[in-house]
Formats: sequence, C-alpha cells, structure tokens
Amino acid sequence: MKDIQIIELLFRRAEEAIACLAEKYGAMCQAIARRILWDERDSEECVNDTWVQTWNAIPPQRPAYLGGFVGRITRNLALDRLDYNHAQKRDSTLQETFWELSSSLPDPGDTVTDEMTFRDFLDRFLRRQSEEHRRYFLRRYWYGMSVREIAQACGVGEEKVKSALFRTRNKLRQAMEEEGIHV
Amino acid sequence: MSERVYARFLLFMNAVDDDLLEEALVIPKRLKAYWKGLAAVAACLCVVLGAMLWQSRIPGTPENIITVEDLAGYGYKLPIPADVQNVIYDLLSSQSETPIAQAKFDRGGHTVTLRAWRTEEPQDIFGGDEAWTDQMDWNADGTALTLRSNAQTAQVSWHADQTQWSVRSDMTPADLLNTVNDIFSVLGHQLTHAPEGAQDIHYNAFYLDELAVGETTFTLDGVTCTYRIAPTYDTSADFADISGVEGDFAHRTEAEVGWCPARLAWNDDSAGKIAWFDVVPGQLYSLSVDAGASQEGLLDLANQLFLPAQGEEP
Repeated sequence: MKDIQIIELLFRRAEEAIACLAEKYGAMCQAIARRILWDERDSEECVNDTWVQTWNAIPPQRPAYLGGFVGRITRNLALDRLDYNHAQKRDSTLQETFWELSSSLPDPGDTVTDEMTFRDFLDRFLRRQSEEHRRYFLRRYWYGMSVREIAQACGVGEEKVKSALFRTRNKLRQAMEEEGIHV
Repeated sequence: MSERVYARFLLFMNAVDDDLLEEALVIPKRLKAYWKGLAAVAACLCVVLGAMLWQSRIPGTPENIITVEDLAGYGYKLPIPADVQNVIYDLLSSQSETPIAQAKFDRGGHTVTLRAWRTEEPQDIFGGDEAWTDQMDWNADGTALTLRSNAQTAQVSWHADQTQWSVRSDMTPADLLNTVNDIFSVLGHQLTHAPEGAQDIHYNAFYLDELAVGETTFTLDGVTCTYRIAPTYDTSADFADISGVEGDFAHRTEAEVGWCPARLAWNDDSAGKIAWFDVVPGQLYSLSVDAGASQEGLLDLANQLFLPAQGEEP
C-alpha cells in the first residue's frame, strides 16, 4: 500500500492503518530500535508505541515521507528508553557507532558550549552538507547503521560511504574548531 | 561508555531536527533502481544489451532528428500549443519497452519541456532530481493534477488515458499553469473544472499567508468569479478563508459543499464569497463573485466547481 493511502486511512481514523504501517515499516522500525536498545521486548514496545504516536500525530500532520516519519519516532522513543541500558553498563550499537564520531572530534575544553548554541551550530553544519553525505552521516551516527547497511540501502559502494563519512567527520571537526564549539 | 561520553552522546543525539532525521531515511528512487540493477547482474547485462539495441532503433542520436512522425510511430501525439517556438522532439529510453516522448519548446522567453510516457501507473518521468518546496493537487475534467515548484522550477504532472504527462519549466508556476492550460486545450480538456459557459479563463499561482494558492478566474454571465485552492496541514475546524475578499457583508451563514464544511458571506445581488475545507487531502477552497451573489447561487456554483483531489464523488 502506498504511503498516501495509509495517510488517508489515518485521516479517516481507520484502525487498519496501524496494520498497514506495521506491515510496511515494522521491520525497519524494529531494526532502528534494536540498534539503540539491547532488549528485544523493549524494541517491540518502542515499535508499538511508534504506531500509537503516529496515530495521534496524523492528523493533523501530513508527512511527506511516512517511512522517515515513523522511523524518526521509533528512534526518539528508543533513545528515551536508553537510560536503563546505560545503567546496565552495556553499550548499544548506536553508542558504539558514536564512538567512531566522538573520537574524531576535538576534546571539550574547560568551557563547554551550551546546548542551544550547539544545536544551532550542528543544524547549520548539517544543512551545509550535500543531501547525500548528510544521509550517510545521519544514518551512521544517529541511526547506528553499519557502512554496509547504508551502502546497500542507498545503492552505492561501501567505499563511497566510508569516504563520505570520513570527509564529513573531518569537516565537522574543522567547523567545531573554527567556531570554538566545545562539547 | 563513561558518564562524560554518554552526556556527549545524548547531546549529539538530541541536537538534530526532526526534518533532517526523517530525510535521512528517504531513499531516492533512482538510487533504489540503480542498486536493483546491480544486484541482478544477468538482468543488467540484458538491460545494457537491450539499451544498445534500443539506441540503434530510436533515431535520437545526434545524426538523426526526431520528427512528429517518429513519435507517431510509438503512438504519441504531443499537444503543442500554437504560439510556441523552436520545438525539438526527442525519444528517451525508459524502464519499459515504451520510450518517453519529449518536446522542448520556447514560450515567453522560457524553455518548456513536455514529456509523455504510455504507462499504466503514474510515474515520475523527470526523476527525483528536484527538491520541491511546494505542492498542490487538484482535479480537472476527471484528471488528478499535481503542481510542484521551488524557487527555480515548476512542474505540472497528470496521468490520464494510460499516459503519464509532465510539463516542466523555469517559468513561474502561474505562467506554467497557463501553458499547461493551452496544452490541455489541445487535448480537448480544461485545466480546472470551470462551469459550462465560463469565458475568459485565466490561471495564477501565488502565496497567501504562507499558503501556496492556485487560482482560476473566469467570467460567467457577466460576473467575474475567482476560484482558489490551497493545500494546508492545518486541520482545525476554524479553517482559513483564502478568498482574499474582505469587507462588510449583510449575510453570513454556514453550509456544506459536498461533505465539506463551508462558510458564506454575501450582499444581495452584489459581491459574495464561499470558503470550504476538505480535511482528507487537507485542501482549502474558496469562490468569490463580484456581482449577483446569493446563498443559493454561491452554493450551486461551489458544488459545480468542487472536484475532490482524492477523486471521489462529492
């Protein structure tokens, strides 16, 4: 079923929309949740909560890309549950992937940049990148996907993804240094 | 992960806007198609071989010039408006055995590209190479049309009679709509569902209170009528009036156009307006007249004009 048809079902408050969402995007959302959380049951609950949040959000919202919309909700829900895993001293796939990014960035100085300033900086930085490189970068470090998964999903070679990630990491480090961002 | 690194992790994870996070999961169609092609090596070889044969059959190489007769050989007759210049025809290979027919022509100092492709399902025959900022859907003569635009380019697409049509240009959306209307006229249709007897029909597209508005004006029995459509994400019951007509009206009431809630305001035998809202596609409508207004007249004309974007009978 096409996205627009599922959105129409949601606008009509037809409960079959949930089944259609689960059929079309269930596996993707489950994978997103699994990369952030260890526990399979937690992941499943995140995905189920995703359908509830989507049901509550549409209408009034009418997302241009339903897959991105539900995937982003799953990710945010999973992150909200991450605290428990962190207390268990176990790193998720997403956290392990973040190491790769974090270790290539400048160390925080004595004065740490406030959250709002950092958000503004990162937003400007990401929007300056090409859509293609931004897609690889966010899939890798904000969704925890492997290079191979990104390459397969985007229809490009792994070397191209690795190269783009390397360059974007370097650009981010350089931009942080130039603007004096310490986090 | 130490507390310090975990804090940094959370800071990064929560610092990206939702639109970017959603965009990251979108896969351009052309990339998906490319990957599928790579995955099926045998199929790929067939495609390459087929493409080579195809190029030899299509007279689209530089040494050959595509003519109307060439297009007709593939069953195409492109509706070119009478007042255009420098028409260049072409045949482009497609995903199917049927090529895409193309005509490029100049009009009003702009280049217009018209494409047609015989296909059972609606397709994006220009590919996903443009980042559109605005989109408007409407229904005309039983055909669903879509206008997409950004600061540089506008494109109107529709699928009818098992043919996908798309017209793209760097002209303004308003000028493109008028060009598409002329193309529609050649096809024997109207761009909007204007009532019988309507004359002096013109099209426009513009922004009003951050809404992308499509407008049709026409004269009917000496009365100037303005019909507007605008997509919106706001589904609140107090929907916006996009008529742009303000002033004191002697009468105000509420009614329905099809299944849509509507608000009317008019002065007897003078100016009047009706605004209605279809929540399912999220589309605002308005109709205003400069003379001869009445409740019955406004409702009757609104019901004649209203063709839901989702293609259902009102």
